[in-house]
Amino acid sequence: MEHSADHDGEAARLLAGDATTWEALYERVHPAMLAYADRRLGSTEDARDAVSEAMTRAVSSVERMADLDLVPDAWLFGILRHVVIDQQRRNYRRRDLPVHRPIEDPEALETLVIEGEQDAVRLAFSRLSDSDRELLELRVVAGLNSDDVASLLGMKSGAVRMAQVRALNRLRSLMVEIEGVGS
Amino acid sequence: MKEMLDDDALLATLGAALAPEPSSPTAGQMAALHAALDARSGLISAAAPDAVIVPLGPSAGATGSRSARIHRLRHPVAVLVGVAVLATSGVAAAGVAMDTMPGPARHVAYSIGLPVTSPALESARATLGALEATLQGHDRVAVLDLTALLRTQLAALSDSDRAQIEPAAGRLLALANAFLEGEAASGIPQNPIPPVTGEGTHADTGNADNAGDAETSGSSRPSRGTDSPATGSPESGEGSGDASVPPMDHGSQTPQDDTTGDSGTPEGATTDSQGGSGDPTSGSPADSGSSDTTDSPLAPHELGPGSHSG
Repeated sequence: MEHSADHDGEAARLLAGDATTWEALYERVHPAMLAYADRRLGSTEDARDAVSEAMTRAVSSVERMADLDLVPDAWLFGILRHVVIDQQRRNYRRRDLPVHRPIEDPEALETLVIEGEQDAVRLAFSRLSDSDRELLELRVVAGLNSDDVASLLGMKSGAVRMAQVRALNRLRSLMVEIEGVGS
Repeated sequence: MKEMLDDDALLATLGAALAPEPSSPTAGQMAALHAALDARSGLISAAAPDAVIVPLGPSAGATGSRSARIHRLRHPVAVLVGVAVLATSGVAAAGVAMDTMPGPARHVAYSIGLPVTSPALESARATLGALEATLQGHDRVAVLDLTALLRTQLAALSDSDRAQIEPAAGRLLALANAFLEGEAASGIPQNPIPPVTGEGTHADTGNADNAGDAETSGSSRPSRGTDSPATGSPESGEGSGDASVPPMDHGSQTPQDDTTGDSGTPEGATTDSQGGSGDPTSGSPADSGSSDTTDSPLAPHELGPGSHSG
């Protein structure tokens, strides 16, 4: 996997335990990580805990990043993904929190006023399957390329690209459906 | 949306729609990060200079190279656990192979079917060793105790275990009996505990347990005397000839001898004439099995002096 020199330099500093680099990385990825965790856990508080836990794990396992040949952002999202899955399992056992909180209630489309394209996209996105949502989120929220997403999901790059095409087609169909209802 | 967006445009639109709100780590999160960094730096400094610390973090994929897997094996904790497992299993295997294990471990190993000597046999062997040492030290009371203990242990052994220890036990019990009889006959400081050889004691008290006691039972009961396979055996002969046991002085009549005489059992003569063979007979596991199981064994010292009424 090709990485830029910036990424390689950052990875080296992270490996060396440079606190400034770690802080900068944390600042940079925090919004995306929090959004990802919040959407999946349905609780901002749990999402913050998950992000914090992911960062702590990242520090203690930074050598693994080089082993897996991942850029720091992808590696962090990989850890966060596991933390979120663990938390979802705990939530499921407790049954006091929803495993997934949809962005909007898909059953109440008739009552919604679609104000713009982004609303339609969000609604359509909320009606996708978990796997489609996760793949697209890693691509557009975390900003990872297909290779990194493939590494995180344990898939091949080609399979990720095909899955992305299918997910986007479904999203497109849902958007047409929603715009038809909203218009 | 009048016209269909292509994939790139749709991705861009989706990215804009899902764009996270600006946020920063809280002070607590930053503190946690620094704590983790501090912990890691401490771990690095504590580790050996050439140790590469690769904590076992969550798997983010299955694409690790072979060198990466080898690297992970060098994680200090994993290495320590591996060494501990190897050492423990190695010691356990060596213990089983050499049959040298502490008591509790032996119990566990034996109970799960590992090929180790049974705890009961090991205990009997230990008693045997102690009895041998005690005989050399001429400690009469201890000899009495250990003799009784050994007989009890022999009676509790399985047939296969008993077969392993029977020759040595028979020889040593013969020595012990000879020693005790010698002590009794010599008239030297007598222990308040009556000698095991006090056949009269058994008869007088009518205590079946004592009647079944080792040294005398062979002679006091003709049937046992004849049944005894060890009577006159070379083993017994060896035992009686052992230099570590004081020679018996049958010429001196001690109260015990009188008692024996009163009982009408020519015990001492019989034993002596047979070269101490009567003792191993009773001391043999088979014998103790028959006598002790039928006559619930009482340790010789459990007989009080008052039991001698003759």
